[in-house]
Amino acid sequence: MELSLDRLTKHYGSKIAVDHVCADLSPGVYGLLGANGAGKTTLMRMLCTVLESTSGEILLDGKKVTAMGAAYRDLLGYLPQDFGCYPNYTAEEFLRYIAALKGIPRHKAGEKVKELLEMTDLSHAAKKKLKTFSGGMKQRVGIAQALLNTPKILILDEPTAGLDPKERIRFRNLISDYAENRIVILSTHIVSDIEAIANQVFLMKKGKFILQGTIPELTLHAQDKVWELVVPQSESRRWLDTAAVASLRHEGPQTILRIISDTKPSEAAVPCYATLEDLYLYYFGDEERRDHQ
Amino acid sequence: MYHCKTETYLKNAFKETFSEEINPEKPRPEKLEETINICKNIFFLEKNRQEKMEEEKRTGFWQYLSDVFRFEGFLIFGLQTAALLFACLNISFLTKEAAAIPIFMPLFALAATPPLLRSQYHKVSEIEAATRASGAQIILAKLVLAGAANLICFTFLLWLCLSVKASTIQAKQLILYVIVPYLACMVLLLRGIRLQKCKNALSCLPQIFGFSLCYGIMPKALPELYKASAVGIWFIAFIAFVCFFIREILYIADMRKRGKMYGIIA
Repeated sequence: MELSLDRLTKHYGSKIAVDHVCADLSPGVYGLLGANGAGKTTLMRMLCTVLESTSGEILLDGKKVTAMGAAYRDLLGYLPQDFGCYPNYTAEEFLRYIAALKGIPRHKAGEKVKELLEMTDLSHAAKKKLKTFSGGMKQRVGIAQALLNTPKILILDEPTAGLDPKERIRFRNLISDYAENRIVILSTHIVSDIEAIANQVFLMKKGKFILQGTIPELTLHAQDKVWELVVPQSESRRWLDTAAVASLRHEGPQTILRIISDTKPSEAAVPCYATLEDLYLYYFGDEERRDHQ
Repeated sequence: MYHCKTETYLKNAFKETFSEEINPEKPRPEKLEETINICKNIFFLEKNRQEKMEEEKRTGFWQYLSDVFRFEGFLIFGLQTAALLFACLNISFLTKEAAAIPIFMPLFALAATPPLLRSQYHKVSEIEAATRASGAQIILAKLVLAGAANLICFTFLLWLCLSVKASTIQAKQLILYVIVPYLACMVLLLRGIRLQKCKNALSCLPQIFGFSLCYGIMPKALPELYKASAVGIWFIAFIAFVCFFIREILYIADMRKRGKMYGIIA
């Protein structure tokens, strides 16, 4: 199974949300990393056929997914970024409703719903109305509905948003297990989630994939750009204002800064191994700082 | 089951073929074709088994419609019944005039709104649109159910109006009074959903009510025109709105065929 994106483009008026994106995806976990407005959600919506592309094609094993229609959506599981649920349905009813829309026969839907409620640790709340659910519980219902039809292509937009650390780890393990022989595409701002489960990472900026590869391959791009610097506490403010500081740790009277910079920021700075988070900051640090300002 | 069959077949076939003593030094050309056939059969049996394993059964349209009815039917039929009760009570006790029917017709279109806009309002439309059914198919199914509810309600309403003593209107005219404003309201509503986001889709409501009010007050305000146009204008309006309505439905059907959303997502 191969999902190919062929010069996929989406315009909103004069704004280009996704710009001639090309990729070939075979079974595995793919992480989409990018700042807000990079085009991740638009790309995912197009992959789910919820949104029509302005130009370009999505092909599954050489067939246009738009022509495949229901046959393609049969293989698809989708968790949108900003989704809701019917407040007066119980978790079980909601999953049964989505199962019906997915064309799963009633007797099978019952088994599947039960299995997924257990998998997402919601069995105890199966009969409770969704309006009583917390954000994290709703997110788990969202994950469960995406898995109802045992999809071969699973698209998850910010799946770990609202999950507590325990649930996040549980989710990562679930996806890692699930990804065998399937294509899983997930976008998140939580870099550690991608680091933990993604085989391949796409770095997206202004609607384009600016980098793609495995995590070791990608971190090579930031290899000589990460520095550790020990400064007196009084100087830490100045460094925060002038440099891209990935982390800051106080140790006694001194502060240890992790700085992302093309050049050695100070004579006292020592190079360090880059992580995916460093890479993210290297490419999006300016945008993040601008957003904060 | 298929796996067991393959294994048994494999064992038996090899037993039969290689039961004689085999000399590895000496290839046996006469057994070559037989071996190829066995391998082919194994390959196809295995392929078949895998396909069967991978293929998950999906329900057809009627089962799907019945499922939508199971989840949405109560809301759709409940709201239509409420609209019918309101219209009947008013016609029976207040207006006692069948010509006032058009005033109440937007209520039926309005009663169809919550089920149609529910998924957008609760932000479930994206999840629904990515299912096998697609957004347009869900709207179509809900329209079919709303149409069925309308059929029952309108039949009852017509029967009631014809049985009101004060009514002098013929049945065929009455049907037009019921259908024309309803179709006009539905066309406005569907266009609203198609062209606007959920919150703005309801901006068509004043048009719906205005439209209906015009029809409603015409018998009182312009009785001559009303009498003159008793069939003519209504019939032309009927044809026009049936065309508009069919166009909207065909558009939904086309969207359904292409597996698209009906309405704006982003």
